[in-house]
Amino acid sequence: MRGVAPIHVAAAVKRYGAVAALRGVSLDFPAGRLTAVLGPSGCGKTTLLRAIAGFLRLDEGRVRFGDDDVTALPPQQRGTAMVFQSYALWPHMTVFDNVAYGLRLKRVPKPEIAKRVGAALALVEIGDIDAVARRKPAALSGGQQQRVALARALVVEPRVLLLDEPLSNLDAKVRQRLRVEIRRLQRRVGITTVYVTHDQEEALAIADRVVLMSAGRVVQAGTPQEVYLAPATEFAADFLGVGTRLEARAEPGVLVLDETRQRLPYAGAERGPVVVVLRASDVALGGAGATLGGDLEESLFLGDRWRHYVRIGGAMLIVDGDAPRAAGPVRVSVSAARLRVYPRQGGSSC
Amino acid sequence: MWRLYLRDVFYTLGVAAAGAALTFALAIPVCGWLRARAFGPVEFLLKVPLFVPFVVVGHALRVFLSPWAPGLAGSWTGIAVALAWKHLGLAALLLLGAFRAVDESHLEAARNVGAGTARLTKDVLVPMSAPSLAVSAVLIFSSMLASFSIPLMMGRGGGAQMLMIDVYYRFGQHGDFETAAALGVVGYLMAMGAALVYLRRLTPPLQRRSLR
Repeated sequence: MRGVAPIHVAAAVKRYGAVAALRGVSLDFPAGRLTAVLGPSGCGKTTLLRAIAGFLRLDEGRVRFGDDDVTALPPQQRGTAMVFQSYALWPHMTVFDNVAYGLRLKRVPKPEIAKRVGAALALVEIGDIDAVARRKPAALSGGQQQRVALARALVVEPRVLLLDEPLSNLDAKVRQRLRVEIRRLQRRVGITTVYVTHDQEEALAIADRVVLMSAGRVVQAGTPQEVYLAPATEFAADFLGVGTRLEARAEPGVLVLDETRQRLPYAGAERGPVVVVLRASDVALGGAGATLGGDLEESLFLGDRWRHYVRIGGAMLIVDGDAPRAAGPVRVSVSAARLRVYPRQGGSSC
Repeated sequence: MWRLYLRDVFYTLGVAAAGAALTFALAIPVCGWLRARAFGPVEFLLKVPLFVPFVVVGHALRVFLSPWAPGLAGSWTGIAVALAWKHLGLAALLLLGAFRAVDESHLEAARNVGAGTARLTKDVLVPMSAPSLAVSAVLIFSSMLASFSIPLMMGRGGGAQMLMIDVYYRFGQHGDFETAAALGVVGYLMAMGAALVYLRRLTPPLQRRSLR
């Protein structure tokens, strides 16, 4: 590895005509750690990744790898390696040639190429290396192709590994398995890694640090636990986890829902128009304490739990439970400690 | 008669092959560069020959080449150069289409591990566009086989001639319809040989099997 470098992005701005994809993003990606950049489609996360890789030129701002300013460098001189959503393996080359390509460009001697390609394929646990190395990518499964793409990225010993939604094209089971393997691999190699995804579960599971983006800005950055358990904004609370957004008015000691005038005890400091975000896992049907009244319209079986849809005025409250319930009037208990209340603003997401 | 025109047949095949090779030798690197970094003015210049009439190309090349390389203007290489210039626009049109159909991520993956534009073209764009390149080569080669105006304007006093010139002289100057027709059939068969390659490339293998 050419030295593990932290990545510093300072005041990055990228515009496409009138649309700003990045609006002054400043971020530090710690050396040797895996940082997941999470956000909805169009929030700027892939633009940020491509700016780090050098595939697009920033309108403003700088990108540094450690002490090296790479802002003006073309991609081939940055020492990054990228894994693409579509794998981007060259179909006319064998697996061996795909992985060896970067080394050939660097004029590495042939015996060393063979050794390093074998080691990279072993690292990603491709299986029977000799057999796989001779095949063309089309003869491999999606999971194997993504392993080859990872091997191709790692074999050139980059300073920074960039992953652009690498598991999005795989089915759920392979995705779960590869997620763990990428995590294990990154820990073993110890390379600074940026992992872009729109899948919150993937980001929370795999990352040392999560960066949540919206509309070209960083909304929150922290450990997965910090970001999930203490979302800093209404957008963060709404985006992470499955939940419902209710508009209310915060008064001393109480929250009054706008539409139904139902009341919930509230010990927080916010006053005036607010948004209450209730996660499906933080509310329950029935129970004691503070409750909201509504009509259960639908219950869906999700395998490990039931998901109930309770209408409260114009809003549909999502409540997770472990048993089916008949449709009709219900009470939903809300834990005061789990209430997430934010001052009400305009549109929040991308 | 066959013996009389055999030299012209090979001359025609040679000029067309050299012209097509020269066209692609020029078009591939420029189109590779244009694929990697779009630059409108160069693309426009590359496509200009598309809109210049064959006769004008022949005349212009003769005028331009004569002072610098007098021997070249009336030679097979001069004709090949003129044909290559004229077909550069068509080649650019076909090649850029094929190169632009290659997904960006394949190029970025190569640039990411250190490939510059030349290696990108040689190692990724050309092999990934090979079927389209083969079809383009056949189309351009066939068009060059049938070229008439440029060889006529570039003019040779004697020696081997392009086959379409022979057809014209047999028919126009000598009223020899039979020989003209026979030469026409030979030209047609030569073009058909190229067309077979074209059709094989365009027809998916399954359809080919059912056609047998």
